Amino acid sequence: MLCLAFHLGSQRYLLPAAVIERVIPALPARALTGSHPAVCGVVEYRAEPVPVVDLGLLWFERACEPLYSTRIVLVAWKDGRLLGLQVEGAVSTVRVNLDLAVDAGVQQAPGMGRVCSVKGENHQLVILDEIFPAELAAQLFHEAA
Amino acid sequence: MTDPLLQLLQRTPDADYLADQALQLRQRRKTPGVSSRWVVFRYGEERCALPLGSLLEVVQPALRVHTLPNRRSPVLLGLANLRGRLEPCVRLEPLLGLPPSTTTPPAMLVWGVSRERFVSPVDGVVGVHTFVSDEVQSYAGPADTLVSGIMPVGPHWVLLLLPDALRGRLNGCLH
Repeated sequence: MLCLAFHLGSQRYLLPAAVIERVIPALPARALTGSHPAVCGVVEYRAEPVPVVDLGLLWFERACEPLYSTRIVLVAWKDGRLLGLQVEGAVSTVRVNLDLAVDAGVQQAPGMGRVCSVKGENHQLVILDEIFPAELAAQLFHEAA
Repeated sequence: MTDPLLQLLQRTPDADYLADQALQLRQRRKTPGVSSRWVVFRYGEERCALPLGSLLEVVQPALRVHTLPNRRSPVLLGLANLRGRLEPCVRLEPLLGLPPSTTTPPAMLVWGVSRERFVSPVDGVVGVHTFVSDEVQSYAGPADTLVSGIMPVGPHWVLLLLPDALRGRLNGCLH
């Protein structure tokens, strides 16, 4: 399976390419007052507002560093709407053999999938549909509407 | 992280780049042209770009250049020692009709066509940009045989250089 590799600090992750619409630079987002702390705001993509969530803030309470390699990954969310995930080091893709991925064996945050080794480093698969609690997802699209 | 491209990506993006990207992404989809990626660099306030495929490395800080006796030229500065391999160090500004830089160059581009490699001092590397062919505007300024077109990036215009034509002109200067 083709995946986008990215990292948050020293932790490495993989997101299946099939759910990705496009990877864009980490544009400054327009803040949304009163939204979840992990929501950067919205960026305008093809004349539509797209909510952006900083996964560093969501999982580690540490915002992604403002570098060229920090990108917003536009993913197809439910109802076909786009959602932006801000991540670090999103500059390469890898092919992963899912048969070699193993369960981490412990309970983790929502959206954390199996672990596999890429070039000698452990990467964790991200399950897009499970990343956010339902109330946060609903809030994201409510705010962006 | 040793890949020069990855090193470039580990920098803070400049405001011009983000503003340009935001402008492009904001627009509705239209029939796409052919896109290509370019490394944008500057001489003073002038911006130039080479196709990313012709870039081999960005060297920072600049390499020491060994001058050649009896070979004084505004184009050929001498030879640069790049990890034990001597490469011709050439200024591109005179070929492009730009004033020569008076400051110590902070970086050098190692670029090439086929097996020929050149080292060129620049005043700074701006970043990697994607340009779409149908948005490139024609250029009719000085040295227009070395330039395929111009593109606006933020408040600046970027000269898109033709590596093959540059190589031909440089070989004429060097031999």
